[in-house]
Amino acid sequence: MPLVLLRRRLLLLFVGVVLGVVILGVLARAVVRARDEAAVHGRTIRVAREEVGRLRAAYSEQEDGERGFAISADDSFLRPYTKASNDAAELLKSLQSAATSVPELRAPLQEVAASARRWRTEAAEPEIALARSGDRQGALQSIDSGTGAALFATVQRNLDALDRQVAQATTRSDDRAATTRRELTLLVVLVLVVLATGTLVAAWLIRRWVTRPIDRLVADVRRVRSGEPDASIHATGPPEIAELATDIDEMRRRIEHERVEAERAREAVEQNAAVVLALRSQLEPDIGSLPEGWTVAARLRAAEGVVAGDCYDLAHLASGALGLIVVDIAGHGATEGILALRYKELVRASLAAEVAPGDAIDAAASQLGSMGSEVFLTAFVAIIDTQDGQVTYANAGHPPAFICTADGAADLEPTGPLVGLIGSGWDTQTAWIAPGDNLCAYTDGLVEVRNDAREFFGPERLRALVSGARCEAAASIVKRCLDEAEAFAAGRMHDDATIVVLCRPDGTSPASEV
Amino acid sequence: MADLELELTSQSGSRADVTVHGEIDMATAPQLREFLDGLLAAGSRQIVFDCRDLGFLDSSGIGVLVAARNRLDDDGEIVVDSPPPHVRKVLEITGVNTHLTVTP
Repeated sequence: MPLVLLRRRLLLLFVGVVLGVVILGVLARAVVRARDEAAVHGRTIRVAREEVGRLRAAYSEQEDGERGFAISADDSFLRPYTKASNDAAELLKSLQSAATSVPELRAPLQEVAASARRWRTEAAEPEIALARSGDRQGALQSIDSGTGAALFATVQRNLDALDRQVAQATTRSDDRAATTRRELTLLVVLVLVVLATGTLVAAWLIRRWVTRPIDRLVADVRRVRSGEPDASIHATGPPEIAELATDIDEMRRRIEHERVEAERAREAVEQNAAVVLALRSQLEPDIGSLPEGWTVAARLRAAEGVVAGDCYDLAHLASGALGLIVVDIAGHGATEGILALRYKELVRASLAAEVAPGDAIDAAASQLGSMGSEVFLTAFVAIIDTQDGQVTYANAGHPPAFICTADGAADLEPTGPLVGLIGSGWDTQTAWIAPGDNLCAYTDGLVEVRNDAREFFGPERLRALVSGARCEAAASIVKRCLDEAEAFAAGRMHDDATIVVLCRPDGTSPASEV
Repeated sequence: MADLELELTSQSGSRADVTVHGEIDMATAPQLREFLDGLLAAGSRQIVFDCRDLGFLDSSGIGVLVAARNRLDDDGEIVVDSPPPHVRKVLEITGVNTHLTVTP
């Protein structure tokens, strides 16, 4: 019965045991009662047998007394007659009550009583009356006639018959006692057999229903525990245990699934890490040495655990000028990182073809096409003539780069909107980097970091750090700007931060002699 | 990172007035996007953000706002009302101030 609940099976087993006990109890009670009845019956019959003997004696005494009195008319004969009569009457009464439980005695007993009564009324009493009235002759004649003797002989015969019946009843009673004894023995054996069988069956069933399924479950679970996560847990046995096994298996499956997922995720992270590293090295180009003692220092600090959305480039153009490109794309996915790189390359190609920065931004934007409904980028693109320090630039929605001069800083404000999402049209403008001045371009990730008081690092702090930087110190200034910003934000850099510092020698610096 | 609270203070016809508390950045931009999707789906065509208490708006937020603006017709508008100076500055630098409506 694979679908019957274990608790129902156990209930049925319990009901079966109880039923068995009740049946055995009823049987035992019946057998014991039969044995008791047989014992009572046996005692009654033994008493009856003894009473029949005494009844025979009483009748004999009665007859002796009656004869004696009839012959002698001596009252001393009549006394035993009367006593024996009373005894006989009492014995008859006692036997009659015994006959209610031994019915086969009833008929012979009646015969005895009737024949005794007849002897008394037809022989004994008339003879006694004759003797008492003094008619001894008549009495003797009556005795001699043999009527009384014949009647008494009938009584004797009937007594014999009764005796036989009692003897038969005794035999039967003994047989019955023997039978009940046998039945009792049989019952004891039966109880023992039923108990033994019941115990064996119950043990077998419990083993089959409970122990074995649990053993199997334990074995299955042990296999999983000992490093076989794929080993499935079989649902066997009654529904409760099968259900438990199914639940455990489901749990195992889920844990295994999650483990596999975690493994996959780890592999994916490892693989992506390679992509991230490759992208970063592309995003941070190696800038060779610059002419005329100019120095450049640049650094990109990507926000932790993401692909940088910033990239920059510094290129030697065919005209001998320097091309500077800083791009910041909104988003930190690999897709955005690659889009930013592609955009930068497109701008760089335009610059190489001597396209003005504003037009280069435009051309690259139209070549790149749509980046997505919410994706845009900002860019600062400049061409720097290292001979005279002229800067032609365009700014597409990017935080203003600035030129630090002796008199302060000059912002290179946007010349058009961000790239993507909204319209186009970027102007190209001109600025100058005088000797000893420097140009600083950066992305918003650098200035938008905040401290615990929610204050922004801001462009002013950046300007203060960069202003007056000498060419030989450019690299350390760049590093310091990033370090200061990171310290300001207590390490919370949520966005990429890029800074490029381009420094024109003032003519007295040792770098200018290189 | 600070949270973002967007409260729809009134909605009549195609106009919806929203009060902004907190900051819009990479973490909260999805919340703004979902909110705007709801308003646009409900037929709002003029969405006015009261930005007095907007602490920060980064490029993710700009992307969401501009994308929402791009889904509206010419007569629809997304208004950034009373932004704090640095938010206004960001809108100006990116050139989004001409695409969205920045008041006053």
